[in-house]
Amino acid sequence: MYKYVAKYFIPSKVYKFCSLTAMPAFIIGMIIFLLSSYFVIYSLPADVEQQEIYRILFIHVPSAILSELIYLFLAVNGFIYLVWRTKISAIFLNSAISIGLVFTAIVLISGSIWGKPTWGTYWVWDARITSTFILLIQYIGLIALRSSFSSKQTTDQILSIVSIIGAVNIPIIKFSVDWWNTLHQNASITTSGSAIDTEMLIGLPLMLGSLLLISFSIFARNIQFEILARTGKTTAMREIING
Amino acid sequence: MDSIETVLFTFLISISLILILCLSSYIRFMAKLKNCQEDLDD
Repeated sequence: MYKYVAKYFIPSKVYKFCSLTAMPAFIIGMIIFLLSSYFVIYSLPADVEQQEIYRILFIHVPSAILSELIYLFLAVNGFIYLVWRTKISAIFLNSAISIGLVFTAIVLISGSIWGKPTWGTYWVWDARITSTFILLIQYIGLIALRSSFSSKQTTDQILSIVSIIGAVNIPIIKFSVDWWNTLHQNASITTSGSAIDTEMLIGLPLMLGSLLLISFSIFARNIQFEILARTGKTTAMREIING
Repeated sequence: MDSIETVLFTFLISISLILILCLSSYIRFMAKLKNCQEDLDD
């Protein structure tokens, strides 16, 4: 099925789509980010127990969701590349790694800052935090691997295999708070409902949406870079650049 | 640090990291595009 869909993911078309959408996505994303930041920092009431510090969760939780989703995206593209050898999957895979790394770093930094006044410590080696730290190392490893081989094909194959194997960490991160007794609290939003007040809850999708748009703009620029890097000095490149 | 200052500091650090990545991706892409255009002109 993917091979059928992939016919529409021709690099020249993807390059053009990225050219058209990268800047608008960034501008809209930044506007939503600034507005929703103002909303969650100044408009929402303080929490009864955590007071003001709970507002950090509005950047922490969306970043955590994105860091895990991006890794799953890497693994899916790695799998597609290994099975169907679609060039665009390797381009997507290479383009998303740095974004995942930054969001994982934000999760750990914001979590540590939130942890000090709430838990009394910046860091504990509990299951959720340790597995997220491992995710950070996985991203760093992928970036190191990306520049370790002279052949692009070998690099793509190795990155795909490592991404797929590393995806085992994602359910571990997600269910670590259920499987082990951790300092990190359980999920506040489940299929049976939300433990967060509705007024406070609205900030999360707003922040997530803004970060998604900004991530997309970075992703689009990385895709354009990868396409140019993989296209030789041919008429194909002339077509790509001139549209 | 006061709580609200800590929150602002965290938001500032987070968006700074994202914007640094955004800028570096843009600069890297523009440099590559310039190289490709020069290659095509030759």
